[in-house]
Amino acid sequence: MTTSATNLTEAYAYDPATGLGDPVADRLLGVITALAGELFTCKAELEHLRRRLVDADVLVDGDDDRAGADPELAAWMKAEASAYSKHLLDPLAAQPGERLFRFGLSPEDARL
Amino acid sequence: MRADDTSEAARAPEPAVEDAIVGDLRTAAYQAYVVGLKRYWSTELYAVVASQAAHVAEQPPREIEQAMSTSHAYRAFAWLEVHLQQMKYYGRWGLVTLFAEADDQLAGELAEGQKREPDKLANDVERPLPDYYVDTDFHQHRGGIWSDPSDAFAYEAAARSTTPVASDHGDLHSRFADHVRAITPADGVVLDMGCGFGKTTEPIRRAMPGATVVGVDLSPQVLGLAHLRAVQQGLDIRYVQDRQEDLVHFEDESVDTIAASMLIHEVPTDVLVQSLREAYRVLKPGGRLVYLDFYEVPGGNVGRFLILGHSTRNNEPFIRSLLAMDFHAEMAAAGFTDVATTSFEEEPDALARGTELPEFWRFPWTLLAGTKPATESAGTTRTADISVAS
Repeated sequence: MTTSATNLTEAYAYDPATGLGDPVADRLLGVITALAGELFTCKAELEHLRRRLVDADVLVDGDDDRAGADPELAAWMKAEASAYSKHLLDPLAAQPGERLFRFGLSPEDARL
Repeated sequence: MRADDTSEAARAPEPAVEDAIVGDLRTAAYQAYVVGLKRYWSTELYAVVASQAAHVAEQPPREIEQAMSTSHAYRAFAWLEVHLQQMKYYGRWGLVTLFAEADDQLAGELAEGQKREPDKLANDVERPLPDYYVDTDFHQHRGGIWSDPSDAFAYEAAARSTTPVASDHGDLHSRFADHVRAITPADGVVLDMGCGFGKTTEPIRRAMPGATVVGVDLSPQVLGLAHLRAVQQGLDIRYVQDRQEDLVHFEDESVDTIAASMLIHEVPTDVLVQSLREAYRVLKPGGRLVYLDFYEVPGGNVGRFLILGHSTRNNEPFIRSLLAMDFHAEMAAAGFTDVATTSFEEEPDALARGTELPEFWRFPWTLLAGTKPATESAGTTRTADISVAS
């Protein structure tokens, strides 16, 4: 697969409304920031749980090794993965040129 | 705190951004993440963009944008400006998502609030909302802040992280309230136009215990929330649904000061021009009109390049028309005198660098003011079905 100079130019075209003219780059960046949001949320949740478990002397060595076989945890992961995937990949599903809100300016007017 | 400031006791503590976000652990964590990104955008990334744009600062904003369109930092800056706002509102843990799930409960809270001191809330739900208001999703808030009860609560929560770099978010409104107090008779009538959920109305009420304070807005949902907040805090504020350009509920020469914060950049020029005339009608001779909004832009062409970009990317199209408007001429045409536009220091030392570009992203806060001559009377007359003095 080759990339022509024209395609490169299009990929780096500038859109004053979003900064990124290429819809694929726009959506991939959306995926990355959504993923990072999931990660941060997960970090906060883990930190919260860790503090509680340590306070209660519940957290002991070996718990993590056995958790994968827990059916309740498996059911949770199945449901959570669906919502997680939707949140993460929704930016890819947006229609080209779609705006998520009613916009007050035409594309031409949006230029300074 | 300024040496002559006597209203310290009137200042209500404003929670830190992260502390103010309601919701469960995941929502709080996600909103903290978004605010963290916005804080980086407002400081680190902004500084890179500003330093790059400074090389073409002699060019007009359109040319600066053209030159900056090849900058990776600027593209990321522009992209984040759009998407951080969308992330704040939408997605699994967005504020609109969070509150929409509780819409019925929140509608109940507003309904209960309306039963308490009902004479202090005058919603006029049969009156159509203006086209510009319903046709634009300001701040990228789909459906605006008037569609559902939950929209009002989402707007209230979102407003707390509008300026994440500010050291005290509530300071802006308290400082504006101090200014209103300084230009208004202690027992006067103050009308807070575009009051929203009361973010400025409440500090005005606290700063002026002897005054009659009335909040006006277009959204019945937001007014319901403002009323609920006032009732819960024991604040004597009357809230009225009305249009700034056609104040059917206010009599001629009945108001001492009309104040409005962050309102006039959300209306088209023709509506604003008509609003000036309507303000003139409602004000008493010698009365004051003062807006806190975006007009005097520090940083020259680069500053204008940045705020015009914000207008596009935060879906606030009328920032452009306000910046292009000759405010002095329009105020004079409406009959006002002593017209002045002065930069407003929203927190200590915010204007320390004068007309230069600020070191972090900030709104170009400006006081835009004028006086109705003491000897003039209004050219038109109107009797209102609601008297603010009643």
